[in-house]
This record gives sequence, structure tokens and C-alpha cells, in this order.
Amino acid sequence: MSKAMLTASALAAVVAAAAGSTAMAAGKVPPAQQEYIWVAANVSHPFYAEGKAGWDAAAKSLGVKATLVGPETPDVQQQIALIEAAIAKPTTAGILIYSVNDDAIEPVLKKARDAGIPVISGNGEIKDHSARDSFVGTANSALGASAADLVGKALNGKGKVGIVSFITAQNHQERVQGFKDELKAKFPGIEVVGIASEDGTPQSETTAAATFLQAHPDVNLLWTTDAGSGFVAQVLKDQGLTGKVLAVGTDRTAEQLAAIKDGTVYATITQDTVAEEWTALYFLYWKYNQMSSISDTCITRPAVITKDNVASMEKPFVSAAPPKDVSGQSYVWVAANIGDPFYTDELKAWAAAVKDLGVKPSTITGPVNQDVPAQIAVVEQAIANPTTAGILMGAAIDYKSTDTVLAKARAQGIPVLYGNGQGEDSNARDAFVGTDNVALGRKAGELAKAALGGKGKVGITAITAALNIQQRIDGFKDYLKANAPDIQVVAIVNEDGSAKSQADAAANILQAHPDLNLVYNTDDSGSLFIAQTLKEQGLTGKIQVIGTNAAADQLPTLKDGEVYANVTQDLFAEEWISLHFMFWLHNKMTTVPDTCYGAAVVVNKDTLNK
Amino acid sequence: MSLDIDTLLGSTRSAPPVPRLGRKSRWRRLLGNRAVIMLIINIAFIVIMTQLSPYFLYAGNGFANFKVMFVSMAMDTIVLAAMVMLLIGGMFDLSVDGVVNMTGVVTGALLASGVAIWVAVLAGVASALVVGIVNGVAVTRLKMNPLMTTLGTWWVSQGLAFGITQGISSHSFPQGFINIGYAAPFGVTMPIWYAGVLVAIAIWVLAKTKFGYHIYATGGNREGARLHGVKVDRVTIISFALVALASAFSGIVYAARLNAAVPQTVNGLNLRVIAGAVIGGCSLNGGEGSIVGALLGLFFMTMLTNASIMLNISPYWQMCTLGVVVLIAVGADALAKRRISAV
Repeated sequence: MSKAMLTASALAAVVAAAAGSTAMAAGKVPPAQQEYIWVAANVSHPFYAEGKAGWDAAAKSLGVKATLVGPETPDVQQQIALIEAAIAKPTTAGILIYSVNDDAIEPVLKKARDAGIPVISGNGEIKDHSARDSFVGTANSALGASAADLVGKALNGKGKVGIVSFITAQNHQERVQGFKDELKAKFPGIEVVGIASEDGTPQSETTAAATFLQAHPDVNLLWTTDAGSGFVAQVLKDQGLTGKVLAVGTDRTAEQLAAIKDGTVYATITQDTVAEEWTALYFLYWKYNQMSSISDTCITRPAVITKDNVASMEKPFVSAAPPKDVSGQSYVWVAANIGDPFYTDELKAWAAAVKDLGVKPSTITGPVNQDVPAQIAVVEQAIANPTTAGILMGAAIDYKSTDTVLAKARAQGIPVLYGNGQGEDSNARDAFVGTDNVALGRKAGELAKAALGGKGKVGITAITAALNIQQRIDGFKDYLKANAPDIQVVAIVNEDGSAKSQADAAANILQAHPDLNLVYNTDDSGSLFIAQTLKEQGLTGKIQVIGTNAAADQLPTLKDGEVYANVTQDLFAEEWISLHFMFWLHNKMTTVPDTCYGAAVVVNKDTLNK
Repeated sequence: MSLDIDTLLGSTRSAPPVPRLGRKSRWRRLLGNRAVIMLIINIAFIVIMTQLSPYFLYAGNGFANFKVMFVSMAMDTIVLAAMVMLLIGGMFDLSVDGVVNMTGVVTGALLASGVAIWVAVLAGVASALVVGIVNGVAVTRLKMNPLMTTLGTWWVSQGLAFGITQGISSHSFPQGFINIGYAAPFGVTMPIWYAGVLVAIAIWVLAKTKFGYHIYATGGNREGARLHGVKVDRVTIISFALVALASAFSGIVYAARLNAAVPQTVNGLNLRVIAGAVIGGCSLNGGEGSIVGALLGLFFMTMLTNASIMLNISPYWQMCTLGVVVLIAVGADALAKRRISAV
């Protein structure tokens, strides 16, 4: 071989090696090497113990590494340093963050996302949602509201309450605000007489509570916004006030539970951190490994622990491993109108999830047209089938009757989920994974405002009897009322979701209101029929159309600009997550969040052409 | 030896001003005493607070608010008694918070595993003593900087508290242990008894014992004291050990009162105690200070915290308010002292 050829070969080898190493760097790290980092606010606080159990169990289940890190006391600079270090590490596959200061931490979270590392905010939501892929946790204001409900019942709607709180911390401020707002709305006879500030240590809590009781001798109840109620109870005992002043706490720690057992603490409101951390890790894993999109927001349900249920709540949740062979487990997905193109993405997700979990293959079932008795019959059949491991009510038609039959399924130990829309009885289901229909409607309102320049007349075509559709309409109208008062909704025309009904509704609304500027359709494929009707009447471009969802048949009208935009739900994530939630519940691997909402995504000519 | 010590002490303690015109100079001497100043400040504060809040001094439940303050202060006073001696000896110790927390955790963990109370307590105390001796030996024999040394031992001891518990507190201790914190002979709760006894012992040690003289000598002029035969290193090591033992005692009493051993039971106790001692007349340079003055300084700090809750001062401004008042108190005292020295 000549010298020139040798040089060329060597050069080629170097280039190939460089390309190879670049390719390796750009690719994902295999699961066994993937590291997921949970950055806490005050890492050694007993609060984290329970969530860590969920975090570690999820990591074991996935075969990945997961660590809990963070400053000893809330320190955003330390959090930032830890995240920077994580970004620099090639094996970092996801970050869960308990933000201490949103404004300070959001830039580095965006940097992580830009580097391909998914980010989830936990415990409290951060302000800028573009800095995270999802939020999984308790809405602190909802926690405060739950505490207020408990306090309201404990005091029979009348009395004086003091709050012992680490009030300088953002999440505690949110809890206190939620507490006060709920009391104001539901229990106006209860007065919050003051807040005793403490720094989260028992010494500070007891000093603050002891002094507060002196300053407010007529207080009836002290609510602690963290896990200090057991120590506050000691103070009450010290001052001879046990039984005269009630103590209510937050979170679940062993000493609080012991105090509830012996009656010195009335109750505590807990966050389900097992569900939070388990779900967060799985979400990060799915996102990093491009297995599925994930919900935008997942809220865990606060639980109340009193003397009545403390014995069962005392035992920490221990994650069980699923049996080796799960192929006999049957998961039933009940729809409202199977065959509708709306389900296209959902079917793909369901099939993918079935394959991922290895359960019995199944597909969507239910009536072809909106038929309540047919839906109920499917559920009854599933309940009677001993291999049924979970039921997803993908799109209920009449929520009252489905609530009843689903409650029956739950009573028999079958996990139940609502999808797409949820009923009114949250006890009829284990979780809801779907869309925030009000947010969907609001997004449509935002688009209407942009399309009309803030002025005009709008008509709506909708399945008005369906609760989820009503929520979209409410969101739409509320948005316009608040942000575009010169846009009026002049008509709402009912349709039943079928192609013919939607086409008729479109024609009717245009006939009845020739001065319409925009038509908003609240359910799938309706925008297609409206666009067709406008085309037939030579009105394309003169009347704008906003639709919902982005089924295959709707895409051409969006691409061509016949439809201004559609607001869609993340249907893939819905079904993927729903099946996994049911699988986890049935196999007692974890608890799950109460409610998960997908993001409202805008699909239009620009996004499709990108 | 004692003559040398007295000479030495005479050169370090502020010599009393020569009496000039009887009553007037007696007043000046009185007002030059930090403890007297603090007493006046405390009384003035109580009078003001009584006007601002009907619950501060005496209410329908008697002097209950003062009882609350005394109990809270008692836990700090247990450490204060030893810390004053260390400060007078020219040293300070930042590891107190960590030792308090670590001792509670060690004791609590052993109790939770069924160990006898006296064994658990002894083990907790022993763990604290190790820290105290390490501090003392490091500073004296290895000539390590006391600030960095005690910062390090603070982190180690606090870290041990976290590491042992993994964030989960032990709790539900035997009644015999709880009584350490909760028994109330003659209606006075145990922490107040402990604080009272320890303060009395500390006053006696400083005023009446050779060790006490040696502490002042070491703090006032370490090299001079050493040359005069005072075993300054031993004084320092013993002082650090005493602070560690006091911290251990505080940690055990906290665990008993909370019926739980929380890895971060206290945060800032150390600075509170040092601030109280300095406000009460202890010099950070050593050689000066008294237990009574430090007690009054700590009492003032305790009343400030109590008043901020009583008056519903916004928590965002509480720290600022505390800081301003402390600066005014110390500034006024420094001014008064300067005027008296100028005479």
C-alpha cells in the first residue's frame, strides 16, 4: 500500500472514529446506565422518606439508577449547582425538582431540557411551565383547601384558628392561601387569627406555638403547615390545653401518627409522595426513552388521617413486584362511539402499552353510537369476568350512571379510571387521566381572539349533553368574557358526534347566523364538516373555524388553512398512562395520582408544516 | 501562684474606676456593668411590652407567657452556662447545633431499639464528649483555627444525625425517659431546674474556683497565663468538653420533651446563645463576661422573639426587627461604656 493510501486510510479511520464517537454521544444512554436525579429542597427532612420509597421502588422496577440529592436547608444556589452538575453528566436521563425559588431555578431547568434531559417539577408547580415537561405533585393550594375542609368540619363551621407555618417558604405560602380562600368561601364563621412563623425545626415550632397560644388564648385550633403537629400537641399538653385546642397537621410522619393514635393530634393531611415520585420517575423514563408523551399536570390526592384510619395508614406502602406472567390480566377500555377516528392515536397507544406490559391483548370496546345502556352493559360484563384487572371508562356519555357501575367495579377490587372526561363522583374511580376540558376551551378562546382580532360573532357546535363538552364551552366563554369582551357567542347548536349530525349542525348555524365570523366545534372531526360546508357556500376564509383534536381526516383542512387551528388533547399519553396506572394498581406496585391532565396543544398550518 | 494570678487578672480585668465624688461615681460604676445595663434594658422592655400586649406579662392565666419564655430559654441556658466559660476563655464553638441534634438522635435510636435508658443517655453523652475533646485538642495541640474546626465538627455531627436517621425520627420513648423533660417538681418543669442548677454551678466555678480564675486568665492573656503556669491548653480542652456535655444534655432533654429524636431539632441555637452572651457582656476576644450578664442578654433575645409573635409582626420582618433591636441594645451599651471610661 502506498504512503498516500495509508494516509488516506488513516484519515478515514480517524474520521470514522470521530463520527462513531459523536453518534454515541448523541444517542441515549442504555437504561442500566441511566441516572435520574431528584433535587430536594431540604433533603434530610423526614418528609422525604416516604417519597424516596416510591422513587427507589420505581428505579428498581425500571432497572435504572435514581438518587435523591439537595441542600440541607432551602438553598436555590445549591440546587442550581446540583442541576448544572447533572447536566454535565452524560448518564443523566431526567431531573425531578422541588423548587425553592422558581425565578432563580427556571433558567437552569430550561438548560437541562435543551440538553435533552426531561424535567419534572414536584411538590409545588413552578411558574414558567416551559421550564418543565410536567408537574406531578400536590397542588399546595389544594392541600390547604383540604385542610380547611377538615378544620371546618372539626369546628362545625365556627371558631378561631391559628396557623403555625414555615411561612417564608413558597409552598407553605400557597398552602396557607388555599386554606384561607377555602375558609372564606365555605366556612365564613371561622376566623384565622394569626400565623406563628417558624423555621421548620421542632424547637422553633414549639416556641412559636407556645407563644402564639399566649397571645391568642381564645384560639380553638392550631393548624401546622408541615409535619410539626405532634410537637404542637406537646405544647398543648404542657399548657393544659389538650382537648380544648385541637391540633391538625400536614404530611405523614411517624410521630404525628403516634400522636393521632393517642388523641393529642386531631388529624393530618398527607400528600401521596409515593405516587408522586413513582409516577415522576416513570414519566421521566418514558420521555427520555421516547416511549410516550406524558401528562402536563398530575395532581396527587391529599388524604386525611384521623383516629379512624390511622391504623391502616400507619404502615408505609411497600411496592410489590408484579407476577412474572401477566398475560392473563385483562384490561378493558370502554369507549362511547368506537370506530370514530378520534380514537386513532389512542388505539396506537393502547396497543403499545399492552405490548410494553405483556398483558392480555385487548382493544377498545363499547357502543358504536352514544348508547348509555350499552356502555353500562360492557362494564357489567367486565366486572363479571374474573380476568378483568382494570377498567378504563374512556368516554362516558352519562356520568351519573357510569359513576354507579364503576363504583361497583371498585368495590370488587377492580381499579377504575376515567379518561377524556370525568364524572362528578371522584370516589367512583381511582384516577382520571385525560384533558382539562376547561383549559381546552380556554385555549380555543385564545385562538378565537387571535383569529378575530378581538372582535366578532362566534357560533358553537357541540354535543351539549356531554359534561366534558360543557366544560370546554364554559372555558371558551369564560376566556372570551375576561379577555375579549367584544367577541360574542351568539349561538350554540347541538349535534350528537356523528358525521351527519355535525354536518347538519354546521349548515344550520350558518343559515341562522349569516353574520357569523367564526365557528368553534368542540369535538373531534366537526371542524372538517364545517370547513366542507363553508367551501360549498363559498365562505372559506370569510368565516374562521376552530376545531378540536387532530384526527387524520382533519389534517388536510388544517394544512390548507381552511381551518384556522385545532386544539387537541394528547390522546397517546392518555391511553398509555391509563393502562400503566391500572397495571400498577392491580399489581399493587404503587398508588397513583388522582388526576392527570394532558396539555392543550395547538395544531395549525404552521405546526404541521414544521 | 495565686498572687501571680491576681496580678495577672488585675492586668486583664478592667480595674474599677477610682472613686471620686461618692454617689455619682458609684452610679457610673454601676452603669459600667453590662449586667446592670441589661437588667435596665430588660425591665424597660417588659414595661413597654406590657403596654403593647395585654398577654405579655400577666393575664387571666397568671404569668403563663413568662413561664413559656422561661421554658424556651431554659433549653438555651443549659448550653449558655458552658458557652460563657468558653467565651471568657477566649474561644467559641460553632458545633453546638450539630451536637445537640446528634446526641438526641443517638440516644433516641438506642431507646427505639430497646436499650436501657441510662445506657442510651450515656451513649449520647459519650458521642458529644468525643466532639468536645476533638474540638479542644484540634485547637490547642494541633493549633487549628477554632472557627474552622468547630464548623467542621458541626457539619460532621449534624451529618451523623442525618445519616443515622436517614431522615426518619425515632419516637415514642419510655415514660422514664420522657420524665427527664417533663417532670415538674414543685410545679416547675425540669428544664428550668436543670438550667438553674447549671447556672448556679457556672457562677460558682467562675467566681470561687481556681479553674474559674484560670479561665479568665487564659481568655485575658493566653500567653501571659501560660507563662505564669496556667495550663491553658487543659483549660481550653475542658471548656470545649463542657460545652459539648451541655449540648448533649440539651439534646437529650429536647428528645424527651418532643418524645422524638428529630435530626434537625434545633437550628440557630448556637448563634442565639453566643449573641445572648455577647449582648450580656462576654467579649469575643476573651477575658470578660459574666453568667448573670449573659443570662440577661439571652433573656432579652427570648423576649424579642416572644414579642414578635405577640405583636403579630410579619415573619418577613421579624429577623430584621430582631437585628435592629440587638444593634441598638449593643450600641447603646457601647456608648455608655465609652462615656464612663472617658471620665
